[in-house]
Amino acid sequence: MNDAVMRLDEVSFGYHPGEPVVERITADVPSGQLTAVIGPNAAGKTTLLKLMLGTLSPTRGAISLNGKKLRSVAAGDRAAMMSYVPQRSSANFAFTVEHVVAMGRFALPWHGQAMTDVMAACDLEKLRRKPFIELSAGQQQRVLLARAMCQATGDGRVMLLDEPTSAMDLRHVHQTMDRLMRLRDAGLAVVVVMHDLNLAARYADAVWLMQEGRLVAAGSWRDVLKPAVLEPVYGVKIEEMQGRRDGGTEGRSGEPGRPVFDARLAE
Amino acid sequence: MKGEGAATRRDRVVLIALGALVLVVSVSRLWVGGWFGFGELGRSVLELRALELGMGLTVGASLAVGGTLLQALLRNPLASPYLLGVSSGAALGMMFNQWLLYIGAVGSIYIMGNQVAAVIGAMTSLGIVYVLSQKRGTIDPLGLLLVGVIVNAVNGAAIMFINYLSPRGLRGDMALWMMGYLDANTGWWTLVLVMLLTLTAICAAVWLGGAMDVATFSDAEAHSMGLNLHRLRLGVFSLAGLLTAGSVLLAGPIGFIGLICPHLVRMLLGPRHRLLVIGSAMAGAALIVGAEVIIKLADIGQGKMPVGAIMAIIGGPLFLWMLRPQLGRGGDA
Repeated sequence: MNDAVMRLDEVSFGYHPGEPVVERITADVPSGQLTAVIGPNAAGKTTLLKLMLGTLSPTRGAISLNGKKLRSVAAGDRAAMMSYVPQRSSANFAFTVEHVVAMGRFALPWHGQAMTDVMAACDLEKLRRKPFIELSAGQQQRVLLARAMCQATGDGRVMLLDEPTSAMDLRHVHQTMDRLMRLRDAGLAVVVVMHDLNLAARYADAVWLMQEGRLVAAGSWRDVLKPAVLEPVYGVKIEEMQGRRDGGTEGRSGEPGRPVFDARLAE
Repeated sequence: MKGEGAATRRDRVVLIALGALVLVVSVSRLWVGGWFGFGELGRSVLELRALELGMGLTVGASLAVGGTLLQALLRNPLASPYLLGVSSGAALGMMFNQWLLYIGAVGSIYIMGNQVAAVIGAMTSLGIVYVLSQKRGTIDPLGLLLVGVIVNAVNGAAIMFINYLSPRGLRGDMALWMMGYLDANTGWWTLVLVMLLTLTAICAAVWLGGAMDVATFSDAEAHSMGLNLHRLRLGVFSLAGLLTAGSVLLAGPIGFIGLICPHLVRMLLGPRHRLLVIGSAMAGAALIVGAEVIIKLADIGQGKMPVGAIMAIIGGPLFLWMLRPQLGRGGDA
């Protein structure tokens, strides 16, 4: 179940020589697992995601997808295996919602059923003829998720998401996370960059904690989501409102003891 | 993509209406000026009108499709061959070649002819604009327009310089040609060459329509959907440069067609590039030939007013209207 579909080996990257944004990251992305990438601003989370996507090339180290060097995977094969949800889209033209979602199959055989299913799953049926650029930021995020889900139907192995719920209301945040958990249950490796520690605590199987381009902690949520690990990285006082000792909350997968955090500035 | 990209009934009606418009203005262009009669003279008149009609259709279609391609690739509905200095680049290439011819220099460009000179000028300008308007690998929309304006100004200055060095007779011809003038002296051979090039480029652009749709999103999104952006950019920029060079070869630099036609057709057909390319080609052809019909009918400048001047009169205010949403947005544009 948990074979590594993607491997990062000593991956480093910088936009300018001598100024690394991502530094010597080694990690495995296993199938059937939701990995939350957390860390303060400018920790290198989005850059790491772009390296995993292949839009940036590591200055040192290597990334492999399904056992092959990422750079050597053909564009069509890569699209079949790996999908991506940006935090926001840079659309300039008024494509309809259904056309944006259909673009997920650009390099892949057309799959009408997948299109119908994701439109329903992401609550987009009423919006299908609306211009994408006229939607609210939260609605746009749902469309981008639907596009990635449409693309991942079939041979999808990895889905990379950059703060996919940052503009959503509470109901859609949890609906989206629930959809990601279903994809995880279906065997997809789901990697989500997020800022909300409580969301990570509730849904993540594994957590990568980044600081100044380095992976300072990586492992199961039990090992990483602890005030002693988080406080030095975020520079705030973090308390477990409901913690492991009193049972905590139940995670989406039914495990008890998931923590709920509160944070305040350190004195 | 395949399932959602098909033309709807409304799309088909719009395309048929545009086709009918092209037909009407084409027949009008052949007819305007009265019956050409039978016999030798009649045949000559018809041939001249047909030549000018063919030039108008080709120039309009190539400029409109060139604008559509640049707007898709630069993710900017304000991009056009004229505003980005591509037309003036092609014009500079041709004028430089003409000047070489005048001074009797035999350079490599001169040997290859005006066609190659125009293509080199267009591609060089496009390349400069493309490279200078990038910020960390992404195109800055306002930066793009500013660089285009500057390249246009530099090309304009170089054209004036060449103009100054040229003799009075050549200078007069050049000035008229620079206004955007359908010159019947161009000849059938050049028209057929540019027409074939334009048709081939339009077919290629239709074939690349789905890829251009995807390319209008960010680099990361397009890459994730399986698009080879580098290859597409190379192909589409080459097509846009060739189309612009072809149109300049026939009629000199004509502004605003490449800007206005995709914009108007996008309002009718939406942004899907397969349909947009076909619709823009027809709208561009109809606009140039229609303007020619008006010039002849209204007898503006004894029926010989350069069509580029008319386009500038119509296009300038329309461009300002289109620019309105971008004004006042500063760096967010």
